[in-house]
Amino acid sequence: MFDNPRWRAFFLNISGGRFSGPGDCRAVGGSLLQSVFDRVFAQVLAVVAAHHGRTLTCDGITDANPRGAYNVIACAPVPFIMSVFRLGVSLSTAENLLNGLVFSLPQPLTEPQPVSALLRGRAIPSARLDALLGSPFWATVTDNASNMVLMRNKAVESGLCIMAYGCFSHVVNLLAEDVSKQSGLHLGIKSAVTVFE
Amino acid sequence: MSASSRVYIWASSPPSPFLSNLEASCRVIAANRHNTTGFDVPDSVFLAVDQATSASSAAVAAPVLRILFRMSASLEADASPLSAVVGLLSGFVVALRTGFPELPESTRSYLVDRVHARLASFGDPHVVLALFLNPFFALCRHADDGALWGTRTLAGHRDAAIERLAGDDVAFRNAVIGDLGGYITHVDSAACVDGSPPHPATWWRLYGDSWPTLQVVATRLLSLACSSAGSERSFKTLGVVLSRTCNRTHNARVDRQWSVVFNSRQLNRVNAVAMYQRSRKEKEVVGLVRVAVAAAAAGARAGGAPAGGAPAAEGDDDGDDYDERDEDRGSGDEGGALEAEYIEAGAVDGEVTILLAD
Repeated sequence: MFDNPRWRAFFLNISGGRFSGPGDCRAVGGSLLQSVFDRVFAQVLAVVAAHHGRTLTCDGITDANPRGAYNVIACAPVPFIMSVFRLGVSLSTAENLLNGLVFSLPQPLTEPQPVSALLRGRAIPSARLDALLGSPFWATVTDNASNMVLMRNKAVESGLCIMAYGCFSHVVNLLAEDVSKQSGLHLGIKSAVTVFE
Repeated sequence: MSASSRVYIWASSPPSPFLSNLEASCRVIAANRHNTTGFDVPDSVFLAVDQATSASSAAVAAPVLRILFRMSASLEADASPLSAVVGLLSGFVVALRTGFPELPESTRSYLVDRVHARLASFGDPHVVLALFLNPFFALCRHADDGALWGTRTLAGHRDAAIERLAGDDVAFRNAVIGDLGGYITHVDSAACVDGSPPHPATWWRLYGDSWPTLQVVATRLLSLACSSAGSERSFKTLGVVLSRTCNRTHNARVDRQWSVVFNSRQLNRVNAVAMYQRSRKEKEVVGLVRVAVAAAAAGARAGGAPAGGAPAAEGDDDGDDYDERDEDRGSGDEGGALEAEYIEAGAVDGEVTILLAD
């Protein structure tokens, strides 16, 4: 009965554009979420902006729907979600990933940091140090998928960060794989998985 | 997963769960053999699941995997300094060279080469420079035997990092090198890291005023994250916000809820560096290196070969039991230096003590 354009227009009108009728109940209450989000994010930005030597990490996941989503995390050094972006039908190439990452970042974090405040009045004669301290991020860390490796190297080239390296927890994982291969354990585990699958 | 699929062992999964499941695997295969409607099991698979063979393989690999498990847990802590990467890996190399007598020499050499190659592939010279800037890992610097980590030695990586940092600015380069020399002389001549040293970035803020140019670089370099564990952990929160039974929420709302839930929790732990406690694994690795250096010195004095002890096999098996079959994993714990320390506190005996006894 309510699933027609006239009723939807009515519901949108009385709910301030947040509810259009059946199938759209989740939009109700969005204004409260937005205010909470704004308050929390302002605190996060203050913490991250005050930290020098920030790290940027990015990783992708296939969510429950299943659709791909990429989180952008700033480590100060505690990790905070800065933004989430989705590539939709676009390929997850290094260029697309870097564009998605840069455009989704809040603007205060992509601007160079004011150097004079960082040196606390100390006279360190170096134009290069000014450039280093002004960099928005010092490092980009990702897992070691090929597109992520390319993306993080491009991030260095673009001046978003000074250095880029792979996640060393993943590296230790690869070392564990090396150990298991050498000891023959890998074959046993693989066979066990084969049987139970 | 097909038989040809890649099977991964996540470093924090000790082989014990595999061993405990091994009996079940054998029972299933034995029952299947007597079942007329059973599935085909190739002989190669049957032999591989053979309990005795796999158990012996796991027993050989267990001490090494256990060390890697602890290293992974240490690196995943939020405030884990960048210097911990090469510090732990170089300690692991020392352990491979001087311990693990149950592993054949060829296997140990192979693993040492893999450590060097992996760091060179995924690392960056700045990661090595961070090792030189952490006074706690001074012993690891001393234990370096000039081996190639990729195409360069550790000292070569350090120099490359300084070159990259300095670019064309000769004055800055000279200032960094001068400060680095002064700092290393100070650290090597003073027992400034005994006891429970603070986070290295804090150490530089407290004691680094004598080397002002390097202090500015070091405090930032040592604050960088060495893993993407934060990204992985945040996915756990996404699983709460968007699940299979609640999956029609709009993307914009999902992103906001995800961000609010995760960031609110993180805001309560912003002083991770101040509350940082060095993980027991790092202390154990430095203990390992200390034993190896002492043994080498004793061997040199006696004119014999250096001796070493194998890392103890004791330890808790309460690791996170997750296989890394794709990139979409969550972390087993909510991380943070303190959490990592709590995990370590559950261990049975101090491995360094056992090592010294060896």
